[in-house]
Amino acid sequence: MARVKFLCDAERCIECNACVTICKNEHEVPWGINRRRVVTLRDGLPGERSVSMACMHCTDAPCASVCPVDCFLQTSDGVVLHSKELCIGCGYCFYACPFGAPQYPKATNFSSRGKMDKCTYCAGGPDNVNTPESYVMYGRNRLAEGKLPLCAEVCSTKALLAGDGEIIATIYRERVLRRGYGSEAWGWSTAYRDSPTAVGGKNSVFPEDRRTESGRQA
Amino acid sequence: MTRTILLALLLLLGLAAAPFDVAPPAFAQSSNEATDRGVHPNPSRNPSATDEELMRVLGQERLPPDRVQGNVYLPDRKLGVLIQPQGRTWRDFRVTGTRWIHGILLGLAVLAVILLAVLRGRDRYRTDPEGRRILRFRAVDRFVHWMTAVSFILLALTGLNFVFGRTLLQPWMGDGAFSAMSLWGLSVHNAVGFAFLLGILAMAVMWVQDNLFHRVDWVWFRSGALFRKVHAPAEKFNAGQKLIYWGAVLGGLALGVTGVLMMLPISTVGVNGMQWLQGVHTVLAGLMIALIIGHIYLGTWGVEGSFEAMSRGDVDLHWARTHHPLWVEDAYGRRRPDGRFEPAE
Amino acid sequence: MRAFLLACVGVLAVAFGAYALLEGVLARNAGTEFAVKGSTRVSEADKVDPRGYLSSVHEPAGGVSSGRDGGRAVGGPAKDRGRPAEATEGKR
Repeated sequence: MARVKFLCDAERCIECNACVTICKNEHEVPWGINRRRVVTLRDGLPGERSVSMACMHCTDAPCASVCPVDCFLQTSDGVVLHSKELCIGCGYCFYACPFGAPQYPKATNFSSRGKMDKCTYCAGGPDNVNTPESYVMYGRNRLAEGKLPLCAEVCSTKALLAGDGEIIATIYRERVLRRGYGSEAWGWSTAYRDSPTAVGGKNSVFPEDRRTESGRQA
Repeated sequence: MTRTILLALLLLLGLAAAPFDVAPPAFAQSSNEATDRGVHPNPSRNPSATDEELMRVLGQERLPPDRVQGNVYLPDRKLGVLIQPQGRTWRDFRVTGTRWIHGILLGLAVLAVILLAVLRGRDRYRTDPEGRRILRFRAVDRFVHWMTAVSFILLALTGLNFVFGRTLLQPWMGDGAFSAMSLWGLSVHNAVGFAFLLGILAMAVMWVQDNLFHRVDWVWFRSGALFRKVHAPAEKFNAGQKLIYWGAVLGGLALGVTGVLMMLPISTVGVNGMQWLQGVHTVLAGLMIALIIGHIYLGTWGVEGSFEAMSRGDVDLHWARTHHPLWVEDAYGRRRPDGRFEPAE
Repeated sequence: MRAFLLACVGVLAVAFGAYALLEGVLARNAGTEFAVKGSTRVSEADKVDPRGYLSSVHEPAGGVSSGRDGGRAVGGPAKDRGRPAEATEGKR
């Protein structure tokens, strides 16, 4: 089975924010939340680089391991999803995520930060359906239709790559051979260390065929 | 003519002998399929790494030592943080460290209580034959104590759910029920925290005078009254109780402050600030729970007659003279040799 | 006993009061907290000070067109902010 990943080529990103816009529009992301964002380092100075960052869908996802209600799961494709029904909005996943991917509809935490929202790799929710109810909660499920994430599809310079990890790594390597090694593939080996995690228990709400590599054990 | 031909031959020979290079050797190419698809390394640009070196560097890429922050054209400024490596440290602390710390502290507390109960036994006293009693805690004292105590129990249970709930409760409760309970627990924890904080502040103001350490407290410590059945001199609160007081007040204030700060928007203190607050909060909470376990034991079964102080408000006079003689003297004046009391004034 | 019962009521009262105050009045919704205010999307103060309109094409220290700003490698002279045209023309 393919293990899907993201790679943002910082040498090519021109900070057009197309990925940010299309993601927000396609999934009707809640107000105040941006699943994907473009961060510009050394803005205005020599060596300025822009990186498009969203959830990296890590191997051994830290968000999944710190969640107090274990609401995350990782599909056999490697996509890290979470259940908004179980989420209690405590904020721990944001504290653990190196990339700051989880976002919350409430800025304060007086009883809860609200249901966490993050990039789903355009794969919708944990039950892998394409219903209007699921769309309202999680956004569109493109992966179920065999399509890749929209942010990478719309990238104007093909800086943002999404798909099978081996294929996009090869593409990136060819680019580097062509032009020389400049900036790093941000977060690549932070996100994708090899670390198998355990399978979920029998009381889980997640469908059986969706639970292979799962963060269901701390 | 012959010279020209010879020169031409020489030239040809020279050309034949010279090594032929279509392109200068840039670096070794490890895959041929790349070339087949028309990918040629650009020889005029000086690549800064070979293929192997690139793969090695990509594989070894480490988290930066500190967070990397840039500009983001979105109103939520905290999105400008690209990578924060401290999350990995906090993740290990939360998953492993927290459970060990709480487990050890709770275990030690329970063990200490059991040892005290078994080895030292219940601390008894002879009741006053005339049944005289002396007022120890006024109504407002008891109200504040119980408000703080009830709050603390609720906070401890909902807080421990964050630490142990996923491993101990979720498997048999099921996801839906456990999540609903945890959501309720989070709301209760955040709201009751204010009641706890109020109680602690009231205690800090009301009882601070009686909990200041004096020379007699060193005598109490040296006598080993904590472990052995001796009754060393003590004021209204003995030295051990004063320790618990200060632990509870200072720890409780710190818990309250860290708790309230964690409820503010993340951008107020930053994600690293939140990690630090959570760490301090959970460690102090573990210590406080252990402390209060000891306090509950001593205040209920461990020292006979002490629970009445907080439930009724007054205590047996002999109990008071046994455990807090200096307090009785202050309240009732000096005790004459024949056992009667002189008036304080 | 009465003190204990009153204390329980007190805890509930304070807890509900705190909850009502915080969630009802002081809660901050991400949509309004991070909303675009006015016409500027990003405040100027948040940005790193660039050297001018075409700052990205300026040579790093030691390049052909460096020395324009008096030798400061990054950021440019602080006084030039807001009037980049004058600064470059004056020294060309």
